[in-house]
Amino acid sequence: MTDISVDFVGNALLWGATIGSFLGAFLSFLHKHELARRLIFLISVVLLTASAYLVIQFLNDNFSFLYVAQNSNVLLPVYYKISAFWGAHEGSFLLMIVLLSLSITFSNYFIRNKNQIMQSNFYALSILFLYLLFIVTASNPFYILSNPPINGADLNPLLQDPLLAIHPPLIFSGYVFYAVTFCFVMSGASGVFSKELFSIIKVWSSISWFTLTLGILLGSIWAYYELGWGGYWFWDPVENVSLMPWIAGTAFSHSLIYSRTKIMLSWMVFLSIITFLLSVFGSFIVRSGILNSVHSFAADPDRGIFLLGILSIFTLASFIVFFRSKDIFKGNWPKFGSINYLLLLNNILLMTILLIILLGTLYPIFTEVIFESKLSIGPNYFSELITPLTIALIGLFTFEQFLRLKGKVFFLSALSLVVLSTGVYFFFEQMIFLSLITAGVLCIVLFFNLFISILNHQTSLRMHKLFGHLSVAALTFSVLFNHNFSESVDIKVSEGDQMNLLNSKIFFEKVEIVTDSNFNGVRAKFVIDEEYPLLPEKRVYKVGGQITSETAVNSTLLKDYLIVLGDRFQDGSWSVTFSKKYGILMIWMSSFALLLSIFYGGLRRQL
Amino acid sequence: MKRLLFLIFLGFFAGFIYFFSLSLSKPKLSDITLQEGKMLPSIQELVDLNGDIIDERSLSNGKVLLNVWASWCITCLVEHPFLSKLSKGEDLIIIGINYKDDLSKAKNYLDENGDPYKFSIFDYKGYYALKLGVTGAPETFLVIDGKIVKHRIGEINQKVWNDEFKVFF
Amino acid sequence: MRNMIRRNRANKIYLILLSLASVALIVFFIIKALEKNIDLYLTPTQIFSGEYNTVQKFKLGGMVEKGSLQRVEGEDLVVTFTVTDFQNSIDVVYVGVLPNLFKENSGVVASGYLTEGNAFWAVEILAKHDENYMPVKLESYD
Repeated sequence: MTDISVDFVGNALLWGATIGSFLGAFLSFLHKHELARRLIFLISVVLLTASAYLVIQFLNDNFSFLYVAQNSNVLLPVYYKISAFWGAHEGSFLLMIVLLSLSITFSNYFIRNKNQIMQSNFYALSILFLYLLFIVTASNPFYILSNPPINGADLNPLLQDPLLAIHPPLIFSGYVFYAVTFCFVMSGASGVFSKELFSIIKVWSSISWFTLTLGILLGSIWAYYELGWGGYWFWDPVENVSLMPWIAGTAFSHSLIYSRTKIMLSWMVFLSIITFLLSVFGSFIVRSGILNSVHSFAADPDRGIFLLGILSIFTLASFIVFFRSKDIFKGNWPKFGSINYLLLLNNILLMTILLIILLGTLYPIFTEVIFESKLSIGPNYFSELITPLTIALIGLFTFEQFLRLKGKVFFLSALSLVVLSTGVYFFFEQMIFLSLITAGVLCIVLFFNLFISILNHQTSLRMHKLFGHLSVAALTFSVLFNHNFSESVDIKVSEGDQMNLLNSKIFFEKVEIVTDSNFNGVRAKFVIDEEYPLLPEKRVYKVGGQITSETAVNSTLLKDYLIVLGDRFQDGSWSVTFSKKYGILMIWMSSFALLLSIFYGGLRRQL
Repeated sequence: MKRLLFLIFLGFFAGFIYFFSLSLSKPKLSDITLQEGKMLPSIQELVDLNGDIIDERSLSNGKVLLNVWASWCITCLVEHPFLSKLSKGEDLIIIGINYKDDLSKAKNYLDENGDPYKFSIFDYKGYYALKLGVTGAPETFLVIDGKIVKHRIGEINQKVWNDEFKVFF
Repeated sequence: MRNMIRRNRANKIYLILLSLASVALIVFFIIKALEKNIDLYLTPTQIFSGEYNTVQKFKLGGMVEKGSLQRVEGEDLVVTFTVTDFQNSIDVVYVGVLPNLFKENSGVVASGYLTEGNAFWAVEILAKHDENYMPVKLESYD
């Protein structure tokens, strides 16, 4: 007989941490800070032990653990056995909790000023407690089968990829770090924002921003190289859900710079709340099964209700703190044309983009519930609405660069910018090119600005700022470049064929058989324009039987060549997709430049 | 004015919670139609795990619970104890459909975990399951006198049984 | 003095109402844009029920019927297959490379148009993952 029971060790550890965090929150509430602090250290040790315990079961192929049996396999390489730990719902949530407790511990260890950290501990421990309660009751990874299967069901092959093994935990870390940032902001909102608290918040917000950016970027890179559809962003609901906290976080980081003024302070607190809530909303909507998506985890309605409960508690509690805070809603609207005014405009633009994404993501859910009709939103909706707003954002920053110039010079530069872009527009008379060219012009303007400021030995602060915004402009330019020029064609070819497609010469050299410990497959060899070899593969996984294609990509600075192997025909020929994608390398490079600039921004605060 | 904003916020919040609890409580529209209300497809030359030909009448008389399972399916292993419990109670015949499985592994699975089924149809290629409209394992059909009255995709347990199947008894 | 405070207060309330109105306007335009970009998601039964708009591009969902996948002789990359929801079915024509997850007897989503002969002309095929993994015997490529 097979029976399912709870594993004693794992559950004891989880329950211990749950009770501990409740006690800790209670103690901080009573201002017994030193005790709460010790409890925090203890909780993270307990949670680390619990996850180490689960990882050991994966390494030992202990299929009596239900979670291991569902997500691992004897044939799986060791590193994927470890990453299988967060391969499904239960483990990924456990990982998130461990990260949260570790970040709180680090804060407590490094920040010496007691007043600030103590206040935030209450919020952090309450969040930890609710999440832990969710794990032990609705998402428990420690179930045991009395009669274990001989072998497990294998990790989803899509997840058997180094990039995808680290992409989800990075996104979670971003969320967790934003939660920590949120706790500090809340401690300020319910008390006072001191100078020290500001610097703590700035450091944490940089860390969160960096991690979330890196997570999203790696997801894009993975989608491009592994999904093999030639795209890097699909406006898939799950992608949108991770992009929304990023946009709110971007607005948050910007409003943080000038939050010494009262009006910006209100914005800053509001944005921090929004960022945190959007990240919780993200996990709610992905895990509850409300969404249908490639990424969706298996649905369980009880989990959805629990997560919705957690989300509403967070929302209600944080807004009550927000509305009760004495620093909120004071101060006046900034003066027209001042830096603060532009910053506010930038935030409004970002919020509009956020609203567009939010509505586009929720609309299909809405119609399904209300009108019972299933539909999806085409990617054109997002690109058409967001492109002009992004251009306006970069334009705003470029404009800000000339703000410090006085009188005539300022007027002349602004005028020439407008004349230049409209002139170029009428020259091409095509709408798609307008945004591309505007982005290009803004890029050049910013680049020269950076160049001049380097020549003039300007402060590193200013150069860093220019560099970061230049990378965003370059990113926008390359995305538009890619969007407007990429092309793709499906063909049928046999070994030894040579043909001309999309202005390139393609030569199909050979097909050979490849084998590996967990898959069998074939590999083809193509040569493009007599210099770029491409080796697309098709694999059949031994355990699950899934078939995957490994897209072959060859990158040059301006364009990428892609070949995907399709099916084999009776006569031995193959169906093949050949595509040219423009600007991909430029997209990655500008994204990394952006990452670098965010990283430097965080580092500068630390020093 | 703070109060006004707070009221606006509360309004949004209430709408938001209402909307999502509605969307959670509604069953998902699926693009694969459940088979309820249909007659059981006829069976010809189906064999059980011992290779004996199955008599069609054994499926279309009285209350029969058809359960799709396989030795490779972990969720089936999870719902197995509940099926064993069911087989002891109720006036109900449980018949398995062994889906895309290996004969020796399937027999081994029943030896290890107990056999709640009166017999199991050996559907090696999944042909019979296709006729039934099965999309994967586990799935469960409640058939009363040859008519499918309930079709469940996914695990069945006590809660699902009470909510969805109990009404037919 | 009190008058001024009251006026200030009234101003602020107007400001809030104004910003709410502008947000409402933005939302209105966004929803307009949304409705322009909708892809309906229909099953064969829904297509033939006549209750839905099938003139524009939409998405078809269902299962690929076993044994229905065929290549058209002489045409290089043209395939036809039948999508069913076990009540009704519809023939689908597609030109191009089929995705890996595309299999007979498994879920599929295709986006495209309804032709005059009541067949479906697929522009794009997105095969879906089965909820459960099914281990199939390793099949060689022939």
